[in-house]
Amino acid sequence: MKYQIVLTGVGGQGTIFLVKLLARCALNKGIPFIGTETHGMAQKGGTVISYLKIGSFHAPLIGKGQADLLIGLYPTETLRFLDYLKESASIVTNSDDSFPNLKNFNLIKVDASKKAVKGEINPKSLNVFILGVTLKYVKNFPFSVEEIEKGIEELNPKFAKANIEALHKGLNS
Amino acid sequence: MKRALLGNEAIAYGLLIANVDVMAAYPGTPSSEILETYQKLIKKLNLPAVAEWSTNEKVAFETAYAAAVTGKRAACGMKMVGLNVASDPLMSSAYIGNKGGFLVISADDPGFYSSQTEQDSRYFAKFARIPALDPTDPQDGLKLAILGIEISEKFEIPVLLRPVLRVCHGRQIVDITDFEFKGRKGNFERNIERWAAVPRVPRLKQGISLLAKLKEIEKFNYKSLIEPQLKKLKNTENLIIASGTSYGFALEAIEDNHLDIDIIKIDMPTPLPVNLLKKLLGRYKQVIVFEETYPLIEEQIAPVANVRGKLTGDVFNIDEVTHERIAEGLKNAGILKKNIYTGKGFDDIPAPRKPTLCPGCPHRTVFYGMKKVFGNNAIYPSDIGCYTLGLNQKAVDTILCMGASAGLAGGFSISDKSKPIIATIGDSTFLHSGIHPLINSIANKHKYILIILDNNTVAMTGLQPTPERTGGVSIEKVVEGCGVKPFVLEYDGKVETTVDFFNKVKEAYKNSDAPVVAVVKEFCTFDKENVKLPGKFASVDPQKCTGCGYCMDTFGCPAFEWKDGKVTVNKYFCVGCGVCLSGVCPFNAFVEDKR
Ligand code: SF4
Ligand code: SF4
Repeated sequence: MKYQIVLTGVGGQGTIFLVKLLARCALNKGIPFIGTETHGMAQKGGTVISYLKIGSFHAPLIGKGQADLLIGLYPTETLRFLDYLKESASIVTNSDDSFPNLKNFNLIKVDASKKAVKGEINPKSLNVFILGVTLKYVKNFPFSVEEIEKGIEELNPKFAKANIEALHKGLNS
Repeated sequence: MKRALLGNEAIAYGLLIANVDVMAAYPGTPSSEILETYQKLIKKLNLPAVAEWSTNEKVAFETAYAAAVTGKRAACGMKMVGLNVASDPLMSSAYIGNKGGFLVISADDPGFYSSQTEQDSRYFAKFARIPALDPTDPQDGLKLAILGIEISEKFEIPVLLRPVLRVCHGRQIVDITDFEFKGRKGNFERNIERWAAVPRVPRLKQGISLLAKLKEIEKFNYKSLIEPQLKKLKNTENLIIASGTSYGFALEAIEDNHLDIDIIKIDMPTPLPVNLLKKLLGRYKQVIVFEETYPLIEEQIAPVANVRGKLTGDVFNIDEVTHERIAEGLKNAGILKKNIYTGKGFDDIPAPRKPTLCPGCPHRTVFYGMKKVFGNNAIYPSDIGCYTLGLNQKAVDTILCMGASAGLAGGFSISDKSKPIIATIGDSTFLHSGIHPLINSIANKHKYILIILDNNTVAMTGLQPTPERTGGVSIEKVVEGCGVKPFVLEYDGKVETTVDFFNKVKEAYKNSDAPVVAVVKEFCTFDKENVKLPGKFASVDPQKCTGCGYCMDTFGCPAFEWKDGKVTVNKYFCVGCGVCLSGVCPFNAFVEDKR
């Protein structure tokens, strides 16, 4: 299997947690994983972008036009990196109605920021919520709900309950 | 055991597998997690080893080097600009050598993601005449950390491990072999000829033996690292030589484009056995070299083969390696017809999102108050850390290197006497290399204000502890010991208090003929122990907001957004620090948003 994901957001939104989680899932499944993520200065409130490559790869970045999926935690940052996607790739993004209708892609929108402000989801679990949405709508996603749940539990048992709850809110969205 | 690890974590495992029992480092992106992980592991596994955060890279180097002099295995860690600071002991230690293995880890940042420059630490190794190792990915980082220690001990020479950002902050499933950690007992054996670096006779001897060692290491490089790869060569028309991350990218480009081309990975770009490679390289019509960031390998082999690379203008010369850039290089060399790495971007890309101080960060209030009191005419030298982002509030005029805000302030004070000079520096940076310029300025009567933004942590690189927290070092007393009594403000999240404080500082500055120092005691919003956010959220009364943009320009909390010509607060980003409620808007448009 070869599956490449671009993950974007704003510094502080927890993209690194998602990278760790999916790397963990690959480990559990015995599939190779390589990727890279944003730390430090570039992370401070700025655009963050992570690359996740599941399957047999050698380089940490994704080539332009090669990704199967883009997960976007903030709408403006989603729009910035469409050039990494293959034709008819999937996009799952946090956004309100003003988000453009990207017809060439399988586009899934959910207004997670609004839910966070309203208290429907914890702002700290917005990342996992979006992952739940992804699991629901992206058919060829490489991991199952159970595999993700297991990864969450292993990675951070303290917050596992809250995170799994957020995951299911995404799955039921 | 297999684990999904960050490159830095993998390197830390490598050090333990290699039985490194002393490590010292100064944090700096992208290197910080190496010591962090090493420290965590020795604690968790209860290993007889020592991990220390040092006050700067020179100190880290010297601490670890001393351990290697006593026969222990040791490592120091830093980012490449930190190696500049440690370059003094590096040069001498190359001559003198070590008994136990000694690894100098310097993390490079191709692409300037968190740095002022894009230096290639491998050149420092060449300059100092020590071997450099250039890992491709986290797994390779682990492998070369071990190899580095072994080579260092075998040849009694410091070895440089140079992982780049995409290795340090690359994540991969890494295979960790079982290991049994045995620390060593250090034993300093007096040998003045060797350890006391005085000219000339013993030094000349060491210099000559260093050159001989390098010859030996060159041979080792060929026999152990290059020769095993030769069996796989198919004798194609062209050859790719790659090192570091470039190797992984080149492999992918070969696979993605189904190219029939030989490739060799260079683990040790210096010293390179050029003479031994001559025959092999000469067999190929062309040799294409991919490396980050400078043409170190290329320069060395250019005389013995038909080489295409950075020097010939065929390969990118700045910024990090990408698939597109590898493909472009192969295209230029006539090996690839078309660059397949293209995609279609969005036509109307939103304005770039610049790094900013976090919502609720006290630095923002300090910069705001400072600018309000000292105005636009002042010169604002600053330093390296989160507060560099005071750029956005136009409260930062210069950024050169760690500690330089005080150094430059001193220089400005003797060369432009017409303007007030307000320098800012963080606590860790002050202790790293800000004390010396302050002492210098006090001695030479340089007149400026130095504001130490003291949040008691190294925030930018992930909250490493400072000497204040771990050892009770008092910045106020250090400053006082240098010769001036600092003004101290306990940050309270209010604009008025901050402005009052700086007015007091300004008064003192008028009558002073030496530096005036102010210490603002604050917190970092990620620092769970100290953070004090009152939970007072804000919104904007659209009736009162005139759209003048004053709050955006001078304060610029990331939660502020433009909407239809007025400012609004993005509720998702507001953390409830309440500062904007305390007098940022000239029309009092910010009102509390009771949630
Ligand atoms: S990390 Fe801490 S010190 Fe740095 S900008 Fe954020 S709140 Fe401020
Ligand atoms: S209270 Fe004001 S300054 Fe503080 S985070 Fe919210 S919007 Fe920003």
